[in-house]
Amino acid sequence: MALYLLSRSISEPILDFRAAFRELVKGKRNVRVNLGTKDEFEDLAKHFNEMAEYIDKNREKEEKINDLKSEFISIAAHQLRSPLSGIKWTFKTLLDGDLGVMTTEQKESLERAYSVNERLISLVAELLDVSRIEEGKIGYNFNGTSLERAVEEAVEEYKLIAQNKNIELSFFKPQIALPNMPLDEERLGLALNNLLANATNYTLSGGRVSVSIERVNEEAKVTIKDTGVGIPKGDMNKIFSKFFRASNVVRMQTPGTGLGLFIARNIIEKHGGKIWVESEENKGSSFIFTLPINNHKQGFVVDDLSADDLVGEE
Amino acid sequence: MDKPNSEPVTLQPVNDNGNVKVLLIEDDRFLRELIAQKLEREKFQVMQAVDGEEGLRKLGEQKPNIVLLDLILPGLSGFDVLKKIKEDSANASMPVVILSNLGQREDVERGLSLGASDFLIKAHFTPQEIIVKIQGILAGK
Ligand SMILES: Nc1ncnc2c1ncn2[C@@H]1O[C@H](COP(=O)(O)OP(=O)(O)OP(=O)(O)O)[C@@H](O)[C@H]1O
Ligand SMILES: [Mg+2]
Repeated sequence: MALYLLSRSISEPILDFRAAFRELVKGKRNVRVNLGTKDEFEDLAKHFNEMAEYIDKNREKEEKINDLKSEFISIAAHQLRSPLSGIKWTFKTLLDGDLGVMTTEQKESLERAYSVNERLISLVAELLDVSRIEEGKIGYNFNGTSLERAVEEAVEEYKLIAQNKNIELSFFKPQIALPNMPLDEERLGLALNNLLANATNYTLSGGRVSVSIERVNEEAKVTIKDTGVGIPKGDMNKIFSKFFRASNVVRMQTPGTGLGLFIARNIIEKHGGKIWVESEENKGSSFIFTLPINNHKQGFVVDDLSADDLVGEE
Repeated sequence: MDKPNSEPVTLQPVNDNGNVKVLLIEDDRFLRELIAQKLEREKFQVMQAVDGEEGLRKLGEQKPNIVLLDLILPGLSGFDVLKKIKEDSANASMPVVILSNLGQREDVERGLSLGASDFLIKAHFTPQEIIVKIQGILAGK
């Protein structure tokens, strides 16, 4: 009997501590242990509480920095848009010959400058998207939409680009038409766009890109497969992170920022789906994503993800 | 965006821009002049305003056919200006095109729900493309 009492007075505080540590690790605020046992455990609890307070403070600081960071990006991006528009409009005015006729050489060099400026403009748009994602401020509007049509439209947009690069682009519909699904059409279009941009960018002339949709149980599965440069083994798990570009494409000197996949993954996951890649260097890549056919989300949903969640679960 | 134009349709050949008065409300002088030059080259009549107050005043005095409106302005914001234009029955049917650096979904939705005919992000359009938009709206498309 006495033994039992003793062991309970030991095990109970330990269970308390265990629960408290769990909460703390999960990221909970204000986790404190109050025992009032007047023994070593109470002493331990005091130290635990000091530690928890210290962790709370640091987390707050980190969050503030994160907020400031995305606010900074957003302000900077808006500030950049005015001068970038000014440059664009001036170049265009010159290229249109409004200020006099130019020689072919002058025109060509101006066209190069124009396209570099366009690159900057789309970088600003990407940065704004990313900072919005990180602030968790993006609202989604899920409406019954045909996935098939959305994919087909995206493919259609890349027909000409593929043709100019001498890449064969094909689209395969599912055998049995899918029902309408709750999708944010605009955002999904952006994700598809980013994936198709990659497939056509990182595939050499004479290659093939194919896009297919199939149904797997209660999910729709979209595959974007190319016969392009592929992804080096060591880089496979990094390509969905912000600003990462694999060594082979950096060597090719293709333009890019490393944000397209980060944005695409975020959009797919907000739809309750998953995205992954299968690839072999110099052979090609398949980007595959799934979307639940019966998404639990409907209508307008405000994204409540905080930056921490995006670093990855666990 | 696809709001029907309630103004009596005075159909003009597209290249006859001479009778069209455009009011440009934009605080950035460089951008304002670039657009104004292009519009003038295309024979539009152009009025310029550097902020919302001046814009509303010129709008009342000179009755433009269409307004190009920036959103981030000193003093009254572009949204405020838009609201005031649409509240006044004298010019509620005047088409207003927002031309802005903003462009997040909420901004676009807010602009359109306040009655803007279209929402253009500056950096994503060339002056020529902006003019084509204006012509399309005036033609009642
Ligand atoms: N289809 C593909 N084939 C080969 N490598 C790819 C493919 N898609 C993505 N990658 C690799 O993943 C990296 C990240 O892609 P992501 O789309 O995020 O950025 P990016 O294309 O470099 O730039 P951007 O932000 O302009 O899209 C690429 O730089 C490339 O190394
Ligand atoms: Mg990309």
